[in-house]
Formats: sequence, structure tokens, C-alpha cells
Amino acid sequence: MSAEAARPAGPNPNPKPAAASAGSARGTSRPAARLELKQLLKHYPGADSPAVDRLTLDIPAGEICVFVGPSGCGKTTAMRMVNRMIDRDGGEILLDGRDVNERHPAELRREIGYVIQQIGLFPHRTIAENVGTVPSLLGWKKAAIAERTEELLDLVGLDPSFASRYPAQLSGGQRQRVGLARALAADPAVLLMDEPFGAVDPITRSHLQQQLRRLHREVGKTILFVTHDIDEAIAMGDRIAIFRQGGALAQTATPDELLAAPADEFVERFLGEDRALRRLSLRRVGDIASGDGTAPDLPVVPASATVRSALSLMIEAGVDSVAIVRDDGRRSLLTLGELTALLR
Amino acid sequence: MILASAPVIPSFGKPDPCVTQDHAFCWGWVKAHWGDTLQPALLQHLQLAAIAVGIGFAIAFAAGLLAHRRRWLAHPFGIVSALVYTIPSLALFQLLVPFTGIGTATVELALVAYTLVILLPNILAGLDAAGEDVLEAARGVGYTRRQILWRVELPLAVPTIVAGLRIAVVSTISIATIAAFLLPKGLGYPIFLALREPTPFRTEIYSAGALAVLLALAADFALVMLQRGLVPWARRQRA
Amino acid sequence: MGEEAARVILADAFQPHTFLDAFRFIGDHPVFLLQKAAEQLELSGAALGIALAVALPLGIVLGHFHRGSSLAVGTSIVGRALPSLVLIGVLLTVLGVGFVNNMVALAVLASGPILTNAYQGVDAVDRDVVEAARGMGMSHRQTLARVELPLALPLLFAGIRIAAVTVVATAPIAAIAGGGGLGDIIVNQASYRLEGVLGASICVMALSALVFVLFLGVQRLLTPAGLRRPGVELPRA
Repeated sequence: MSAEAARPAGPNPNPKPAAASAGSARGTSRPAARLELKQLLKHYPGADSPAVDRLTLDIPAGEICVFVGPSGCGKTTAMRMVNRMIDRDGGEILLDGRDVNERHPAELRREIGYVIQQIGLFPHRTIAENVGTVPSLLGWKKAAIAERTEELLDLVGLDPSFASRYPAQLSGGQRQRVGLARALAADPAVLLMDEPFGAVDPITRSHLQQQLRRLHREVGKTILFVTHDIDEAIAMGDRIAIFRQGGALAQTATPDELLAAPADEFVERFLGEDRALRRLSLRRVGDIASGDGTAPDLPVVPASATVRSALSLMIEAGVDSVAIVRDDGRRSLLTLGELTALLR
Repeated sequence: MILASAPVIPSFGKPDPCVTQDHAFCWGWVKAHWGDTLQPALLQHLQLAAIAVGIGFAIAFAAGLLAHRRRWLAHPFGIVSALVYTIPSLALFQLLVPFTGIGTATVELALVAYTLVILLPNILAGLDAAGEDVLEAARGVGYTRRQILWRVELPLAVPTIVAGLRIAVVSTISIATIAAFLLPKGLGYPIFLALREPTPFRTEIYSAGALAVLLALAADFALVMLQRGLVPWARRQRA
Repeated sequence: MGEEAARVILADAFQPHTFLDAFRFIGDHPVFLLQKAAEQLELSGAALGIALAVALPLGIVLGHFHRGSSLAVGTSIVGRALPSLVLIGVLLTVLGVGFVNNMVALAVLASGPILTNAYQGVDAVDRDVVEAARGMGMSHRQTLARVELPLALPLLFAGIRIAAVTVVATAPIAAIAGGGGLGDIIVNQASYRLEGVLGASICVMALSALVFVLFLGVQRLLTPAGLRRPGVELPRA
């Protein structure tokens, strides 16, 4: 998954920031960056134990890595050290091989997109001005900022008419999209997202999640995503890092690996019940069905459906196989046997 | 009867019957004395208030920025402000006399003190108006501390600062009438003189009083308009 | 007479050392000053009492029903824009010179902050809390007495404190209309000389500060423990 997601545009040999990157949102000019955390340590003064305890993690360019864990596990602290919102007490953070501490914090932050739960739109600025914040800090020309803003609003699915409105006139979901557009404005190499969809209703949340995944396929940024919601982690992550209390990693794995083989009891409990069913919802039936599905009378499932919904249909209809129909009309067969084999 | 007060006697020596018969309100007197009494008093009043608010705002703004950086200053500033504000204006004017003498400087000093103690808390509160989330985002997009102050905190402070300015301007215009106990200046002076008559001359009290109230309301209105211009984001909140 | 009143001609030796004379004046005439202060407090107390009786219930009821916000806001704007000297002068032409005129003038002055703060205090109580109170079966009266008033108390009492300080501070101005009190001395430099004026001014200042501190203390005591915050909010006149 992560290989496929990695930047469609290919690396730009000449990643000049500022004016040069006033190009297109689709044709990414700045390649996604690799992010390495090495023995990262944060110990707040007066606290008994470290908030982040020797965290080591290598996030390849273009991957969505999700930090998940109970509240107070240090996941947000770990993330905030990347753009130096918090100063680390030990270890290293390398952005494309270069330590972030070598950089001026404000300059560093202009190259890293940052989205927080409360969004923090500037209430005194229009949507367009909010989105254009970092480009204007970087000294882009007015016309370039305007063009970029329009492009980004389109990218996050907002009508251009929003540009001249103020944040107070938008709904929670719309504001979160603006927050995302603002974070993407100067084409950052890395995107940090701290519970970005925590404050919106469930329907809007799942919509935003899907949109972010699609957007990630288009722009191919390295994304570090923090959430306390394991379902969101499974839905969003190429890879999931589960934190336990005290800022140590419990397990790092792809969603499928995690659900198939939790490392210990803590992870198992955190993942909750029906792990098998959740694994099924990670797979699309089109990817696994192979048999001949031309038999009549079979319930029909589109290839894009999840394996879980195919299973649900089988149970409902009292059958042990369903026909899978692809976009081009080809049909194949998925049996209950194949389905259980998948979980082994 | 009314002859005691100098401005009441029309200069042409033929008394206005309205004035001599002590009617409630004499338009004729207002017209006759607009040029030599009311207009100069109005202009003096405006000047007293404008200078006080101008100087007071400049000092309050600088002190506000300082206390915004050095948090521990805010609390003592607040206590001193509240205490200064309890000093009755009449007493403050008198108490400054031994230091600055009887003159415009004394009046301005007292008015500046009141302006300052009204404006400072408002400026401080205004600079704190930006929410934690907004400040976090401002740092996150790469604003420096100075840029956060000038581009985020100050614009967001405008509504609160203008609200303070409205109170300061209106209060200063009101308090400036008390300056008449010390100086023959401002709209308070005709009222002061009229009240000292054995039979108070009503026209003078009403006309000068109305001018003082109108001046305050006009200044308040002007500031409301200024705020609308400066704070478009709040006006269009529910568009 | 007008010239004399202006006191410009009395601009003789004004030096900081006159302060010593002012304190000497206070030391020499303690009984007289106390008597004048008592007069001033009597006038102020009567004015505050009238304002409380009229403006407080009005503000509370308007706030409870969330009605009349323009009245409350208008009162506060006009109250601030109307100089006390003008108010006293106008009332004097209507009611004549004396205690009643000054009492009414000061009561009108005190009504502004009391009405505005009572209205805003009750009006601003969290609607969810009021909703919860109604949901538990409280009547209007019970909601007001057990929920809205305790929560509005800090703001409400701040209004009373501001009114009290305003009245005590303005009372000397009323002396010009025969109000009595310490103001009698301040407006009569011809008789009491500068040290008398300064001494009386110092007393007026002390009296206002005393009222301020006293009311602030009561306000702190009345504030429910859950709402207490450090700091002094600024009185508005």
C-alpha cells in the first residue's frame, strides 16, 4: 500500500522552496520526506516517568504512519517534537537525514504541515487568507498565492465561493478542510495531524478520512497522524504505532499484521473484539476472489466492496458463496472457505 | 436677577425678554451666545478629551505590550488601575494642584490617568483574546513571536481595545466637565457658572449639558463605526 | 462672582508643601471633617438605597426573561455619556437646591451600573444550567433564587460596588447644589483656603477607597466558591 501511495509525481531534482513551488497541487514539486525518530526522549520536569521514552521509528517517504494509544501515552508529545512545538530532551529527529534541531523553529514549521483538532483558523482572516498563510510567509507573489489557494480549496473539496468567507461562517467539517488546505499550502514534505477529525460528527469524520486517503494518493505526502481511536488508525494508517502509557512503543505494524498478530495483551485489549471481522473490512473482495462466478442465483457484490460486507451478505442470504462483479462486467466467485483461509 | 453672570447679559444692552423672565429654555440666548460661549467651550472640551485619550492610549498601548510579555506585571497593573479609578475626579484635580499648579496640565494629567486605567486592562484582555488553538496554529505554520503579536494577537485584540476606547472616550468627555471646578474651560464651565447663580440659568445648563452628552454619543458612534471598519470578520459572522 | 468662582485668581503659591498644611488641617478639624463625611455618607446611602430598590429588581427580572437588552445597554451608554455635573444641574433646575435633588441625582447615577450588571449577570447565566434546573422541576422563582442569582452574584454585586463608589465619589460635586458633605469644603476655597480644599479632597479619596475595599470584600465573600477567581475587575463609572 505504501509503495503505491508514494508520490505519483516522482522526486523533483531541484526542490527549491518558496516561489518555485508555486506550481500545481497535483504535480507535487517537493518530494515527500523520510522521517526518522531515534531514541527520542521527553521527560517533563517534575514528572515521575518520561512522556516519551526512547522512541525509535523510521517512517519512509510517502507513508501514513498513525500514532495511537490511550490518552497521556505521549503520542502527541512525540509528534509535536517533530516540528519543535516541544523541545526534546534526547535522541534525534531526522527529516530527510537532517536533524530538525539544526533548523530555526519558525522556518522548519513553514516546511511541515500541521493540523490540530481545534484547527486554529485565524478568525480575523478570510478562508483564502488562512490558506495562503504560509505561502505569504515565504514571500510568494500575490497571484501565485491566489492560484494556489483556489487549487487547494478544490483539492479539499470546497467551493471557490468559500474563499472570501470568514471561519465563523463555516461548519466544523468545512473548517477542518480549510485547516488541511492551509497545512498543504506551501507543499510541505511532511504533514503532522493531531486528532484532526476528533471534533466532527461521525459521518463527516468518515467522509474526511476517505478524502484524506484519496488526497494522500494524489499528493503523496509523508503523514504522521495521531489519534486515540483505533478504528480511525486502522482506516487511515499504512502503518500503526501503538503507544502504551509512558511513551514507549507497544507494537508497530500494518493494520492487517496488527489485527492478525497483536504483540501482547495490551495491544489485544486496545484493539478490542471482533479483530477478525475488522481484518475483513480492510480487504476488497476484488483483490481475492478468483473462482468462476458465472453461476446464476448467486448474490452479487461489486468488486470494490469489503470482504466484511460480502460475509455479511452470505450470512444474510444463507449461502456460502457470492458473485463478484468488476467494473468491466467480469464476474468471479468468492467462497466462505476462501474467506476463512484469508484470516489464517 | 440674572444680571450677575457676565455671559447672560446680551452685549447690545437690550435684554432678551425670554432671559429676563426666566423661561425654561431660550433659543435666542443659544443663538446669541453660540459664538462667544458654547462653541469655544465645545472646542475646548473636545481638545481636553482628545489630548487625554491620545496620550493615555499611547502609554496604555506600550504598557500593555510590556505586560503582555511580562505576565507578572499584569496583576499589579490591575490593582493600581482599580485604585486610581476610585479616586473621585474632583479630588484628583485638586490634589494635583500643589504639583502642577492650576492649569491645563493638571486637568490633562488627571484625565490621562483615568484614560490609562480604563484602557490598560482592556488592551491586556484583548491581547489574550486569541484562543490557545489559534496560537498553536500560528506557531505551527511558522510565525515568529513578533509575527504572532502583530499579525494574530493584535488584530484579534481590536474589538476589545475599541470597546475600552469607547468607555475611555465617553468617560473622559464626562469627567472633563469637572475640570470647570479648576479651569474656565470646557462645557462644564458654563454649567458651573449657571449653577452658581442665585437662580440657576436653565438655558445655559441645558444647552451646555446637551452639547456634552451629544459630544460623548457622537464620539461613541464614531468609534462603533471605526470598529465595523476594522473588524470585518465579526460583522459577517452570521452572513 | 463668576470670576471668583473660577478661582483662577487664587492661583497664589502652590507648592507641594501645601500637602503638609492639608494634613494639618485634617488634624486640626477632625470632628468637623467627620461630620461632613457623615453627611456625605448619609446622602450617598440614601441615593444607593433608592437605586437598589428600583434598578436591582428591574435588572434581575429583565435578565431572567432575557428581555430588554437594549434598555440595559442603552442605560449603560447614556449613563456613562451623561456627566454627573449635567445631571445634577438639570435636576437642580427641576427639583430645586437641596438634599432631595442631590439624592435623586445620585440615585439616577447609581441606577446605571446596578441595572446593567444585574441584567447582564442574570442574562448571561449558562442556558444549559438554567435548562437543567427547569428540567428538574424548578419553577421560575426557584430557578431564579437557587440557580440564576447565585451564579449572577459576582457580576451583580460588582455593579452595586461600582454604583456605591460612583455615588460617594460624585457626592462632592453635588455640593455645588447645596448637597452638603465634604464637597462643601472643596467648592468653597474662599472660606477654607487651599489647605482646607486639599484636606477635604484627601478625605473624599479615602472615603471612596474605603467604600471600594469594603464592597470588594463583601463581593469576595458572596461569590460562590466555585466561581472565585483572583484579580480585581475594573469598576466602570
